[in-house]
Amino acid sequence: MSICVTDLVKRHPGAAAPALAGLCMKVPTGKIASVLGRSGAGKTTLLRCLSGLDPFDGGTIDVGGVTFGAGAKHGSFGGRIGLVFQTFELFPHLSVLDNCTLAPRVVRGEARARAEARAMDLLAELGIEDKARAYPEALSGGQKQRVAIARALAMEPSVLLYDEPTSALDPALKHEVGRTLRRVSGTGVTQIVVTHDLPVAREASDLVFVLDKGRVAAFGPPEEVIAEAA
Amino acid sequence: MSKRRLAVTLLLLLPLLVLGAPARALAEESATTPATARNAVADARARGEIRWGNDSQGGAPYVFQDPMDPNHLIGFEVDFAAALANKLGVRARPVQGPWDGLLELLARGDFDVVINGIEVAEEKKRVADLSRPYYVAAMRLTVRKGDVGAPRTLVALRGRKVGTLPGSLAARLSEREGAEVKTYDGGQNDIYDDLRIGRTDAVLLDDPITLYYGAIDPALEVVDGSFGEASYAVGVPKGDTETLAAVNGAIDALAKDGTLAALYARWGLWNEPTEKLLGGPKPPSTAVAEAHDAWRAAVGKPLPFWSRVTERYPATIGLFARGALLSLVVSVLAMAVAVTLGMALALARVYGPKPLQWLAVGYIELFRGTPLLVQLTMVYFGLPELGLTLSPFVAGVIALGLNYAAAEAENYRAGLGSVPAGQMDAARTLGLSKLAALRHVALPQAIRVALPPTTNDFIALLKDSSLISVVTLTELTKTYTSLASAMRDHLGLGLVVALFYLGLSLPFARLSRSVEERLGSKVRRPASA
Ligand SMILES: Nc1ncnc2c1ncn2[C@@H]1O[C@H](COP(=O)(O)OP(=O)(O)OP(=O)(O)O)[C@@H](O)[C@H]1O
Ligand SMILES: [Mg+2]
Repeated sequence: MSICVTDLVKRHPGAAAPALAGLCMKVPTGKIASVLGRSGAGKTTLLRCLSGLDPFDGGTIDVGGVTFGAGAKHGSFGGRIGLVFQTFELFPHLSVLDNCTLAPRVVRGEARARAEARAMDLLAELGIEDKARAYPEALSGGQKQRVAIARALAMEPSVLLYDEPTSALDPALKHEVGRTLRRVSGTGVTQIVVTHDLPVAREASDLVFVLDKGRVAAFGPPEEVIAEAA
Repeated sequence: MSKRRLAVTLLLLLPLLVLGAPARALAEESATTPATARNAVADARARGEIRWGNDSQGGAPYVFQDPMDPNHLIGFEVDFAAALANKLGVRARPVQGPWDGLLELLARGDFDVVINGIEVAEEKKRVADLSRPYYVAAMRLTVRKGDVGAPRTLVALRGRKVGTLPGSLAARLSEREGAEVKTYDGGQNDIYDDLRIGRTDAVLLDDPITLYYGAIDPALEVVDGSFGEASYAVGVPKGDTETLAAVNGAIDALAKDGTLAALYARWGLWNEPTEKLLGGPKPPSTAVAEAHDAWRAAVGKPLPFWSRVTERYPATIGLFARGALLSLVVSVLAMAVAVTLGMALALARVYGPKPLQWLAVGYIELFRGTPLLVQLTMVYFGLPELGLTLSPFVAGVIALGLNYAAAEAENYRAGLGSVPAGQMDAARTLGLSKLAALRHVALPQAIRVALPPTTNDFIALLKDSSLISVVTLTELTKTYTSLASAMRDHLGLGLVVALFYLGLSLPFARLSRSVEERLGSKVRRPASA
């Protein structure tokens, strides 16, 4: 599904300036968009509004042709807009496999066997099927991240959002992220990646948006925008 | 009581206790005591037995556990109750309650009559009616042997420390003389123990108690002469004229046919004022105070510890085990109530809308901030005024459960607070509803955090369950205090009861530790980047 954000405004209660001040962006179906910008620019806020975690105060968000205005509650479309958190937020009381099957079973009422088979496929695709029975605390940062991605993908989202997916990883693993994004993109999922990592943005994305003070300051293909910024 | 009934009762109780709303409408929901006059004797005849209230902790020679065989209640009032029941054509069934609450329990309908050294006094008639007296006890003064400064007259009591029973004639006499009165709720033994070790200067008490606890202590001396007379009467339900007449008739008959005289003689209690009171035949001149002699033989000289362990304690094990079982069952059920209600309160407080939050906070503060004893008294004695009469067992479980629910709510609130907000966010973005996120993500983690303090609370609850003895339940602590009084052995039996409590709580303490260890590793948060 494509995403179209128009004049998005978000004010955090008590904050002097709005975190998002009339932001516009458009990401076509199946594309990978990187969102850059310095700390406090409003990147996390944007993802939280897009994923339906936080309400917003003005403008519209259009997801695959369905438009939401201020105050509308779209939830997360029942898991169809996934979000990979910067801190992953894996469920510590559940095994890796159960992390990936909880939502399909609870939200969609999928049978355990089917949910587990799909989850195992996803874990295998991400190269961590051997960790299926492990608990999150026993995973490395990179493994946690891939579990978080598998967990989101298990809901077969049309849109997947990432908040600084590379911040917990060493340089060798950063290339892995790029590869993962490409692989997911191959299944037609639209992806928006918030990152500080210019090489990843250049390598992995089709589109780059640079945020500043809650607005898009620049956007375009990575080679143009990142060359400009650098 | 089924889980459903319990839940309904709880739901009904909650607003009732919090807001004190009138609850006449609840009357149909539970067993009720009709406000109209009772006919306890007719009830007893229908049942085939008369329930007579007493406190075996009060000790010899009234109602106490046979030190040689503590499974049996003996005492001159046990004999008297049996004779009285016989005359009324029913069996006698003793029911336990705290001595200073016996008449309230009678009014509440827990007994048909009360027989336990109830003195004839005006203020008692507000709560219950009293029969014609069946015994007259002289007030006797006991002091330390060889204490030259000991008070030996009523006048000399001024400013001295005098031990006695609460609400007794002896207490009133001592107060009138300006003594510094110290009253005891426990066994009579304690009163004389305190005199012997100098915590008091004298003990003023009824002759029967003096005879059985004061006179047998070689370190004490009973001052000659009577310092007043108290008449004992049977307590009957207020306004129950039929029962009053039946009991009075039976006492008359027992006085006339010499049963009472023989009975008092057997216990060494026959005296002139009682002779005057009964007016009937004297006991035969050959009568021996065999019951009193048996008591002296049993407890007069304390056995060495090891002999007590081998000879006396085995017979107490059954009683202790029964008390322990009751403590355990009441505690487990109360904990179930506390956990369920506590969870609801915590959820209301953390996730509920504002008014629900305030209600939860109000409940928690109210129940945490007031003594358990007050709550139990309100549930057991207060609710009948609103038409809701609960059985002692249910009242005990509910009062303990309601009280501990406040503590559990705080545990679970802390548990819920320990779950990072990001966890709920993650669940929501996966499409889980708020309720599903709570159930599958927040609660399982919160419970792991709350489990160890909950287990600790259970152990505390196990100990607090001793309070239910005020509503006629003979649980572990009450078993101990009664036995200790009957066998004049507080230290040795104290060790026994301590072992029983440890036996109950240690498994849970272990469970708590192992749960903590097992879950500890899984609750650790993933390192945040
Ligand atoms: N819950 C909140 N309450 C008040 N202000 C907030 C809240 N969350 C974010 N803000 C403010 O909104 C602005 C944008 O924050 P946001 O977290 O979106 O920035 P960011 O671009 O993700 O920064 P970073 O790169 O440091 O993660 C900041 O000024 C921040 O202080
Ligand atoms: Mg951020």
